[in-house]
Amino acid sequence: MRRYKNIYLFFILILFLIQFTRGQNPYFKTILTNSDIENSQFNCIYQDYQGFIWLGTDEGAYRFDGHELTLVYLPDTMATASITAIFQDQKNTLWFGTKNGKVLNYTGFEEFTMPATNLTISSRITSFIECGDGEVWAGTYGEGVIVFNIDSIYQINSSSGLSDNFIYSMIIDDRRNIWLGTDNGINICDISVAPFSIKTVSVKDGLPDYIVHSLIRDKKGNIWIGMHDKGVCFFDAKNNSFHQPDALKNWNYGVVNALLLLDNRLWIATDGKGVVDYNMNRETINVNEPCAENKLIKIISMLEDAEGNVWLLSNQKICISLAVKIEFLNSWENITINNIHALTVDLEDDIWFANDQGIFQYNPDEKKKDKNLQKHQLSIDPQTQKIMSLYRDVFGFIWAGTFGQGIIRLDPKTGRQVQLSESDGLVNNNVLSISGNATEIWFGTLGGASKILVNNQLHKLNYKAEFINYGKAEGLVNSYIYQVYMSPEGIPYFATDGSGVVILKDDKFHTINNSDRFTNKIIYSITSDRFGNIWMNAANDGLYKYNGNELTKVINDPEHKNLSFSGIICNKEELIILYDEGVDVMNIKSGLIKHFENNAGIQLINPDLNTISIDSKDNAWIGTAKGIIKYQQSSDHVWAYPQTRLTNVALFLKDINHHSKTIFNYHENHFTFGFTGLWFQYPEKVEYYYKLEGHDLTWIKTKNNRAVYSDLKPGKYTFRARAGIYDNYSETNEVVYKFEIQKPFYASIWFYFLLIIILGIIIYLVVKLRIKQVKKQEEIIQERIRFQFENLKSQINPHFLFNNFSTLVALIETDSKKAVEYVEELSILFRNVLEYKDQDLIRFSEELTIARNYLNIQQKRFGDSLIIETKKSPDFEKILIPPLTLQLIVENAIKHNIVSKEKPLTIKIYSDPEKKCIFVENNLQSKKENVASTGIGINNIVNRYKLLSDKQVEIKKSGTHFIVGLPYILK
Amino acid sequence: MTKFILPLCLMLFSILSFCQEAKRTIFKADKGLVSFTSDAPLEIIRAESEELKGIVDPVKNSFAFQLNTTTLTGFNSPLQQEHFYENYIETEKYPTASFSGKIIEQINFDKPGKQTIRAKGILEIHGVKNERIIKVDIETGNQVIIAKSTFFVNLDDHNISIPKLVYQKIAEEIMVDIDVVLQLTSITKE
Repeated sequence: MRRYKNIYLFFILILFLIQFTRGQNPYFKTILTNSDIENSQFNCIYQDYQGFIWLGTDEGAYRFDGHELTLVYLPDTMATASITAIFQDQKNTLWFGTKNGKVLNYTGFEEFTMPATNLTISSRITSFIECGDGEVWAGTYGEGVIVFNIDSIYQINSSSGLSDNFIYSMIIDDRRNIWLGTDNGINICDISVAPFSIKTVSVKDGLPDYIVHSLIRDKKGNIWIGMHDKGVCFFDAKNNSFHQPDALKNWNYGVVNALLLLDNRLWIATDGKGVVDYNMNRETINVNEPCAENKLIKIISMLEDAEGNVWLLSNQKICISLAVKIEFLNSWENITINNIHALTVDLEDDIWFANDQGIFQYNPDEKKKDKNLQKHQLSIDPQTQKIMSLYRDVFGFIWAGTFGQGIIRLDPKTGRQVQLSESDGLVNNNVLSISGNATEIWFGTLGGASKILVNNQLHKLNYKAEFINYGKAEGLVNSYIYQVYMSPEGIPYFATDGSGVVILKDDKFHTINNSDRFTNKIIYSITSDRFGNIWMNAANDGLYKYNGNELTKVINDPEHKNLSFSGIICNKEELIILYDEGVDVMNIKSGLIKHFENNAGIQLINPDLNTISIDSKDNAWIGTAKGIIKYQQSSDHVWAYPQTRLTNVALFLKDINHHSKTIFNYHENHFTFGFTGLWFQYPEKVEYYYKLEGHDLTWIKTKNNRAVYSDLKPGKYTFRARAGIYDNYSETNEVVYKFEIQKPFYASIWFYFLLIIILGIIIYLVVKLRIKQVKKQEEIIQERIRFQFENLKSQINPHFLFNNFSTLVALIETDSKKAVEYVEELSILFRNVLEYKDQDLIRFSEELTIARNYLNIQQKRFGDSLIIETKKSPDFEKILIPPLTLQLIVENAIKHNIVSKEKPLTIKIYSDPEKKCIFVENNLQSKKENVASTGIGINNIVNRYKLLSDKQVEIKKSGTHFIVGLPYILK
Repeated sequence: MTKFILPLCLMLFSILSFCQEAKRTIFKADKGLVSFTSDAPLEIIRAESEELKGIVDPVKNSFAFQLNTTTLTGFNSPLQQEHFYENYIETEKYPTASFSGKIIEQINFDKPGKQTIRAKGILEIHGVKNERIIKVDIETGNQVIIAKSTFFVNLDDHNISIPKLVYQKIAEEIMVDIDVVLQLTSITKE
């Protein structure tokens, strides 16, 4: 039985220990595991200047923005994709080192270069460092250092004087010397002189261990050294010697893998014992096993990002602490603290708090760890007479307000207590709040307010308090007071149950201006910031700000559905707000809020009123139902809000280099903009505002990190995106991408210009052609008129008439019938001339009829002396001919040749389809005396044909024959 | 004439000194003791060999040890030994286990005394190489080094997988004890 008892005791002890270690740990959250990277393993972590986190894994490098992991594909020529070191130089080039000794430069947009070198390195790259002038050193694991100089690439190894070729880490000291941590001590390279010198520092020089894993430089210039076996020591830059603080001696936390400096704390990542947190001021250590439940105990690397978050890297997972600034305390060696009703900080920065067990004094100085919590015995039973308020006055006395028993004044030095209640003149025994300054102390009760003056009487042992009471009779409209707050100007503010905030000014009670703006007049808490604003919170109604003249409601976080805040207080820059689930911290200037809830390892803290206080170092101490929370003010250098970054611009879903390409063709009109808000503490709360100027008229709000635009019209555009949380979008936090889609060539000015010129030329040509045509037409008409004239002239030629008339006379005498026919034919001839004179072309058959009519007349005259032969051809119907042409030729032939019985004139009219000609042929027997030739007849025909056809009229004159060839004019 | 004497002398001198260099001393062991202990919840298995061979080079501060794994004897039954040979360590495929590398600490080999040093090198078991830093207690004496060490080998690190059925019988980490005496030996260097 006894044995079992021991086992129980053991278990209880175990449970207690777990409580203890969990109690003071900063909270770590697992944000990535190797299942996110296809079960590869993490090797290294780096944050670039833009704020992206880079992760070197066995399968390549990933970029992480808190939302998604983007794998950067290495060139195919790489034998391995295992990235073991990442670094960014001052020219923004990223350096990747691989497991097999390769070094790659990355400038973005999947563009890699490999520095050309003859060196054959096959050992893992462990680290990079830049030492001015763009010179980058890469440490290898087994082959010394590779130096990437602008001019050359060379190796420093044991043959150059290094004590060892296994380089774990590198750092530059204040004298610009480069320190190399190796398996055989530290090599200090002085590169200020050429050739550089190497000094080896090892165990004989006071270094506790040969193997140096990690080097880091602090603000004083000291170099902290993490070792394999002997923990951590530092090199004192002033005294030029190695030191190991007492707390770090007798190291039994195993191999030190990495070091990280966080203000005055040094975090030491160990190979199997989690993180050892060394406080440099107090010279104490605290062992954390962050994510111990998730087995993150072998930490290979650490990083503090630009937001102040701390990242811990193991091969299998990455944890992040959002709240290194938050410490949670609830257990000490022999006691667990919860249900705190009141808390205050005294002049020595000791924390005083009260719960159902009594009043405790806690000294956070961990040097006095064994005696840092002290319980003060009270004259009342705190279990039944709860202590609701605590106040430290200017002399250092602690005043405790109770629920039903008035006030207890405690002297911390002597432990002496004085109880003051209604019988001593206090207005009411339920004291919910105590406040004051150097001249007066105020008590807020459930029956009005009491005031005492601070004077020397307070010191006296037989102190008799003289209360000055204020109630309804004195003008205090509401006697239920949750808090009395002394403003820096010495004006007491009263938070009342139902009457808003009341102030006492010039011995008169006033409600503050715009009190009607309180939707709920139950006020819980009042505080002021250093900008002169008074902050208040109303029950279930959230925050109000009063600047001395005007009261305004402050909606700090639209997502906060529960506006039931309890205590509020300000440090230098921030307003700290307590509520049931956790703590909010609002930057007073920017209005930006950080939540610390279960993400920071605290939940359902259910704080009471008056349980928050600020110490001299601006730390906020908060008493809650679960224990004590210490909040350290954020440092200035960290980001105050999410940082917007443009991640990519894609044209038809294909990424382009948006740094250089800003001009696009008219058909390049489908754009995708990728952007992100870097805010690793709350990536899921980041929202975006974006707008494409030139397309969108208003800003678009989204949670999506992409904006797609298709069918953009030509023009100038500006894409703007802002990341923010809680509708807080800063103009200064904006990414801008300006670009232009050019007009198509057919919409450009030069194209219009060209078009006008071409059009002009065409019109010119058309007009010119037309003029030519018109001219030709005119010529045809003129020619025709001339022809008609000629024709008419020839027909009414007196000679012709004479001949005809003499023939007619002869006929009348011989054959009057024939004479009639002859006259008829003659009249047909003249009619034909008149009928066809206006036509350009007539059918050949018609023309032949006209000619025949003429020849008939002539035959009457010449009888057998004139022989006419016409060969009919079927194409006669198709062929066209200028009217009276045949007649003219025939007339010509008769005119110029002898027509007699002895020498008959034969005229042949026939067509030759091969030559496409109509021939008129006569045998040549010219008259001796030349008939006066006008020369117009034939020429006229030639001219007419020139205008009507491409081919010319053929005129052949042989010794015996005269032939006129008329080319076909087809329909 | 004198022109030739000086280079000749220098040459002779260098040859002589080279010969001197060529003859040097190392510490060597042929019969080192090594034992493996698996302390599992259901069974403790132990195997030993006296065939650990090794050398320590005092000039280069380096070492190399090698064990023929077929020389391991002990075990709780012949069947167990067969299992060990065939299934776990695969002696036919990987007949040797070795550990070689450099010694971190400086050892004064001439001065008798005790010291704990770290041996950093590549431990190869089951064909899988792992870098290890192993602490070794050494005692330097009269031309002898006595080296003793206890360290653990994680089976998973060396790709030795244990079937679920015997999981309770074989520990995940095997304890290795080394006890070896290295004698000063002269060797002629190639």
